[in-house]
Amino acid sequence: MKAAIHLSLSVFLLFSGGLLKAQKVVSYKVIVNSSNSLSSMKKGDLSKFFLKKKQKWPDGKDVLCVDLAVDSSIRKKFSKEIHGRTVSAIKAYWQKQIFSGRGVPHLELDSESKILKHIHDNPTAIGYVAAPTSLSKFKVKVINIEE
Amino acid sequence: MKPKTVYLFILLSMLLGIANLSAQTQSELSIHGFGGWVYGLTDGNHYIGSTNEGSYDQSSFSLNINALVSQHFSVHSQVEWIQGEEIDEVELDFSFAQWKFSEFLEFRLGRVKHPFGIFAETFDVGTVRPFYKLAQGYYGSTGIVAESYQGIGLTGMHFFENDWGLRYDVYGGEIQFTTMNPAELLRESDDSNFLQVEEESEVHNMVGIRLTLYAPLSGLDFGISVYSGSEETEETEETEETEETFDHFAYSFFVDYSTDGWALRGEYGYLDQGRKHKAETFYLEGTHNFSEHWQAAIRYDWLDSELIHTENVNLSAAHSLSEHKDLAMGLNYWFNTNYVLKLSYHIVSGNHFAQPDDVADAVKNGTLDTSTKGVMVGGQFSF
Repeated sequence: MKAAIHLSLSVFLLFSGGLLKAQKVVSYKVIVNSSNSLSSMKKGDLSKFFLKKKQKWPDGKDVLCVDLAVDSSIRKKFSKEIHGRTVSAIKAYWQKQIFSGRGVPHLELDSESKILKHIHDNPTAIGYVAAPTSLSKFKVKVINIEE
Repeated sequence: MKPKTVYLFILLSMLLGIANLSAQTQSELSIHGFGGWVYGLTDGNHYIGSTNEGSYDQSSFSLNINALVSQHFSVHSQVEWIQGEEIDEVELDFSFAQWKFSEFLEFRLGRVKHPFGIFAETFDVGTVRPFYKLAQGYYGSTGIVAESYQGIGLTGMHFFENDWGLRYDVYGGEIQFTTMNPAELLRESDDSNFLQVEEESEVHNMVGIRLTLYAPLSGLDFGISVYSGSEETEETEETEETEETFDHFAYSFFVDYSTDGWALRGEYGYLDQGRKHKAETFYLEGTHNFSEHWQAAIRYDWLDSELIHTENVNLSAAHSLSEHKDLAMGLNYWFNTNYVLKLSYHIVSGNHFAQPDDVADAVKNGTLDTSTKGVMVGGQFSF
């Protein structure tokens, strides 16, 4: 009986740990410089921007993407939802690009404040931050992502 | 000065030069690298570096430098150090300059990675594939795929409104190959030293194209590669033959489908090396990632090659020298995407790549073993 209680408790703790962990995964929002005229874009186009399969805005200017660090939970969510692949799969994609001499990945920054500063300073930049992050001090805006 | 020292000197100069250029122009400079080591043991014949005594000698390291000098101009170089049973060399994998007119039009000049099939441009990068070595029938010393070409090329990519994408490569110049053709040993000759089993050849006036289509289904791409050029026979004192030019023509089809859990890919290649030989090959490869770290892999690799001039060749003595089949099973542990441990077991049939120490003697005595089993265990990394 004691063993059954221990087992139930362990299972509960495992599940509750999982739930707590799940609750920590917050959503993200895609942001651009506030001078950018776009208010929405397709998910497929956003993915192509971040994989350098498309590198120009509709007005012909170069897209400057900026990624969060690979261990960021926001990046994991962004990667899964936008690219449909894990961060590891995207890293493998970049290995092929680098070693075939076709290109290098976008800039990676290790904090949301750096991402916001980078997009604030670069009119053609695009990135993402956690949904609850305040944008008030920066010249950035959120754009809608369509399926 | 030894060639290795010269390469090291060139590499250091490149690093210092690019770093200096980078500092002057505020260009983006990135340095990457990859390498690996493998132990290979077989039950008899030698097979792609593995021996029946066990070989610890196969290791390699490559340094890759990319400099984005300006928005349109970039330079890409890679140097490789290889050590093996019978190799100890440093070589320039590629070094080329690229001018980007647009996403759809980029101009390349120099020694450029050969755009052929799925893996030719990442030939030695172990962290982008499941087995330590690539399928030998297609990527081995067959004369189909080279590591690089010397000349000029155009490349570009475009995605259409319907989410289909196209990447193209058009190139021309010269390709160098090392080709193995052990069936030459079956040719009766007064001078056995003249029989060339392994041969360096150059394909001049070569033009090629690769088209890769990206399907709207994420992870699915397929395409075709083809090139053609001309080779010249070597003038030798033994035969007093006059130089003769003949065609070297190869094509392939490839398909690759990868998801987070599964990957399936296959390539078919065909070679017509004029007056020397023809070859046909394919491989099929599948992987399954059953956790974040563990991956299982399986591959079937098949090659059939054929000598063109068969006068004085007793093919029935050892037809297996023209054939190769390898059923490989692998188990990999990925620490992360940059570091992987690989274990593979190979069941090989045929002697095109699996041969004893003295293959000529084994053919002569009828002791050639056509079956080889081998195991490879090693690790590969990149950064």
